Amino acid sequence: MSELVVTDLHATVGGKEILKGVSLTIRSGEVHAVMGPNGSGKSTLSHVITGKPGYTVTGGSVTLDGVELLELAAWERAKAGLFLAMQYPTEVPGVSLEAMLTASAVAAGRDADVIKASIAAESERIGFATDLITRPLNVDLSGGEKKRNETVQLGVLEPKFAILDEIDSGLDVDAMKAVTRRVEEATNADDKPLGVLAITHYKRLFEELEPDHVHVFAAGVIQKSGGRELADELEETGYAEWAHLVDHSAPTAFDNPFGDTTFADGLNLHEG
Amino acid sequence: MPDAQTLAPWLESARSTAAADLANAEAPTGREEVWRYTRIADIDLANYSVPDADAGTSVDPIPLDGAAATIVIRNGRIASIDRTDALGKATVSTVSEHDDGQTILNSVRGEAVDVVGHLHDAHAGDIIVIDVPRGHHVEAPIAIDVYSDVEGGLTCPHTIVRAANGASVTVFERRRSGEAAQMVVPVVELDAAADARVNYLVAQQLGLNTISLEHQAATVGQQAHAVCSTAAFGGSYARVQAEMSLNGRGSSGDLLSAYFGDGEQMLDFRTFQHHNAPDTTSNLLFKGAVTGEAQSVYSGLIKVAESAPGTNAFQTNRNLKLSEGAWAYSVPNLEIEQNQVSCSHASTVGEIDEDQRYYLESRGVPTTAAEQLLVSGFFAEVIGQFPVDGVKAELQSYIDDALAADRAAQEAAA
Repeated sequence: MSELVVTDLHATVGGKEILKGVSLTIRSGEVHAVMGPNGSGKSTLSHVITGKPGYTVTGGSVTLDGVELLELAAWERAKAGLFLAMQYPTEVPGVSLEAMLTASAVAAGRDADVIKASIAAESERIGFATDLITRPLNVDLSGGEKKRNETVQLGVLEPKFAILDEIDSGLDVDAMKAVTRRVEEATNADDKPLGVLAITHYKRLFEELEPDHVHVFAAGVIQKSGGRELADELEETGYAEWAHLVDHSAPTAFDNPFGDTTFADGLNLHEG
Repeated sequence: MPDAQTLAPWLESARSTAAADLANAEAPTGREEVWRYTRIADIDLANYSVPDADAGTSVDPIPLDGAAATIVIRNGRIASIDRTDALGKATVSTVSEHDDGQTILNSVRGEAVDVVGHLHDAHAGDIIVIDVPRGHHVEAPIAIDVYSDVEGGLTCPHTIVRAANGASVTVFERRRSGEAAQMVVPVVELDAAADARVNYLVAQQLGLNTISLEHQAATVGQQAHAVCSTAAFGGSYARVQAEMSLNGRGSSGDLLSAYFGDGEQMLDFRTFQHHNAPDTTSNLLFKGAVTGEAQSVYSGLIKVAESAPGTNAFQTNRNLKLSEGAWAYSVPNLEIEQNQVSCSHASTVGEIDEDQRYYLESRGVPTTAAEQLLVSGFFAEVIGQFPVDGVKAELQSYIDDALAADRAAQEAAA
């Protein structure tokens, strides 16, 4: 049994406080849904936990089985058992899924020789075309393909905890089913079941993925927690109750959904 | 036919003339456009002289698997020429062995126009001529292995590749040198006649105390194709002037380069895409990375003559700056005297993309390994187009290793 414990987490972006004291405990096999209005800081929570550059932690802690993650580099957090399925998976020209996961396995001291077969098996499991595996990561993939790609990685890396950042966005019904079913299976595994923090705006994610706990997130803190019924309630009432708390002027460091001005080789445009 | 190692009388006399021109020529100051941003003004040509004829060296060539022929040049002189049956009707010789050597030499490059050209012409001796007769295809690559290691040495390798009508050939030249301070002034001439194909790749892996001033020139005939490519990794100051002249209707040419500079290196590239005939196409892709205190200069010109309607010309230079102290400069240029053309040029200088690095890190890939994957991916686009399959993996891993060494050094310093 593993435990991911977030305690009174505070973080700023560009000097502005976005997380204002978040506390949350997730255990192996549990699915926690964090739901909230746009601009509430949901994605910031995922990025601060996984160590994306650009965020400053000003207080609190995040531990995985007692190990303080905030003191580790992003890759060490992943090695410790944390996985982030991104809302907008970054395009990485020139680097294949296999090359990336092989490098990850090598760093973790795992058997890198099985990576190829493992990718193939996971791809088949969720209906991800195998010819996408050798292509540059996320380049020219549709929104649905990118999310399937993230899910393949989750299956191969076998993390202890996965943060799913709006994994339902950009997904068609079939892809949604395939992806959420795979995650649900991982949470039910007899051996080392996966713990999930699912950040989402909509309830539809829970058709296949059964949440044990639902948290309403707004204005940088968890406003209310409950069971699945809270998600049903939100579907009825929306986030009106908390809408007045949202500061729309909050700066965000989210990925740009439209992509940067990036060339095929991954260089941003800086005229020399 | 005269002996391969003996210079023809006409060549001796051409060298004397060049030596006189050299004595009268003014040294570049760095103020001329073609020498801007460079270290040329710091270089004293008088410090370098041709090594003695018997200054051999025991360094073995690095074999190229399945080569049709292997030419080994040591300290400026031919050490051996190994020919195999795969050459077929193609010949490997020296220019002195040709009765019409005088018209072969510099027929592509043209007359020397500056000090560096005169310097080369005054000292180039064992000039290699690879000839492929009409309609003949040399399937396997021809390898040239050049090495020098004499302190203060000046060597002037010169390779001429001629493919007659409908012929094809691929040449791979590897240039290395020892740690001794020296100068290499290479010339490469590629001549693709009508419907011919010439592929050329040079791996410049010179020692870090070697200055290299290289001139590559290609002329491409009707419906012919030439690829002139350079992997530039070594040298203290290493300059390549590369010219692709599309002279026949429907001809096309690729200019390609992958370069990686570290420490105090300066890598300097001047490219020219000359469109002189209708319906010609040129593609240029130069991709480089600089780290440490290294510097790179790229300056390219697409020149479309009035006689070249239907020209397609593309020029792309991309640079990765991998350290605070590194510096990359990129200047693309167009000069067009014809309206019916399609031209594009793009140039960038940037750092490793932070979001891409984070994506890899978030999957458990350590920072250095993530950077290696990204840099390797950056170069894969151009190395993948190099025309010698047998060395692509080696060149790619050279860059991986160089980056790893650089990152290890940076970590140790921090």
